[in-house]
Amino acid sequence: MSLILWVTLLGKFAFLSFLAVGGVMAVAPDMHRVVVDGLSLVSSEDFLAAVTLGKLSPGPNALFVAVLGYQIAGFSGALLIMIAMIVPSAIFAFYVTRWRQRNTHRLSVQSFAIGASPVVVGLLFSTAFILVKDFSEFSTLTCVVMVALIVWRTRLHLLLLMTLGALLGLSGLV
Amino acid sequence: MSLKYFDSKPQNLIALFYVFSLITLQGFGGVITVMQRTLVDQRKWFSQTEFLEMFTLSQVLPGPNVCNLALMIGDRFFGAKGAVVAMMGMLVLPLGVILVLASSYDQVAVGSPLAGMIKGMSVVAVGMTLGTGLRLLSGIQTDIVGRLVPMFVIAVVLYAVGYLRLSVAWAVFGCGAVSYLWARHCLQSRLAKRKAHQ
Repeated sequence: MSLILWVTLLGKFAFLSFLAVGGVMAVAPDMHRVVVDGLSLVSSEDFLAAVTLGKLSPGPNALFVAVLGYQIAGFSGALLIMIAMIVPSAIFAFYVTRWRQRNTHRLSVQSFAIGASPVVVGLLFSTAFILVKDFSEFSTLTCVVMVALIVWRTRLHLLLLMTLGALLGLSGLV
Repeated sequence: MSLKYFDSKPQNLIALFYVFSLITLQGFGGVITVMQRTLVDQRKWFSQTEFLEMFTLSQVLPGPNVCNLALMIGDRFFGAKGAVVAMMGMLVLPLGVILVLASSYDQVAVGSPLAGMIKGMSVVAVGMTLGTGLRLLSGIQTDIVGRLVPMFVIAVVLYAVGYLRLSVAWAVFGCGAVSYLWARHCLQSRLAKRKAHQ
């Protein structure tokens, strides 16, 4: 891969990270446009595989970007693309956080903290709703509701729930 | 055993890195669930409301939410160093895991036991996201803004983003503006009342 191609790719990802309000998955379609359609660096199937892996492996979903980098140029590609994706937006987030810390007395800052929280809770529900639409079987939906109730009302260990989920999936029940 | 979890702040940077690594490695399909559990319910670093406040800001900022949230928490305890360490904690180990998986992904065939396991775990992950949303409901400051408007905002966001699939940015800025103005109005009338009493 040429230097110019690298600069283009990393620059575009750094730019996209600034548009990724609500998480990196929000700009996944734009990334697809860049690496699959625009620069033809990975195939559409590989892109989908990267997204799936990001969902399945532990940690932030944003890590699927590392898989894209890996598909393009191995381990160094993964590292470079992660840095491009995370560092610029993190620096921005850092300064906004600092600013807010110094201005907690302001009416606008307080209104924001209180006012935006229902939006964020709504976004969590939306994420769950979008994902739930992929499941059609009754047993699967029951399982989702059960897990939600357990997480809401009890302090059962989350890894225990995950293990149960894995076992249910293994036995073909969900 | 469980008593040692009740620390109300991390002792040093190593502890910070360790806690965030533990959180992130348990976060299959939803780190936020584990983070809320660990930091609010178990370690009591924050109250539900404080946590929701930081989570809200991290959601509205661009970039990976949970990483932004880790950054804020790290900064709060140890300044810039803490911000970097917390973010590294979130990313280093899972990056290793995902790259190992990426180099062996072709072996996961459809219909294999592994694929079944993965499906089961993703079902649980969806339930966890829903459960976290329900749990964070209690962090909304209904004593100030009441119940009606927040419920309405949640419903509109769910309809717009979940059902109509409008972009998240739209929901954040559109519904956020309405909710912000309402919160501002409530805070202002509270202040006015307090002044009238004095």
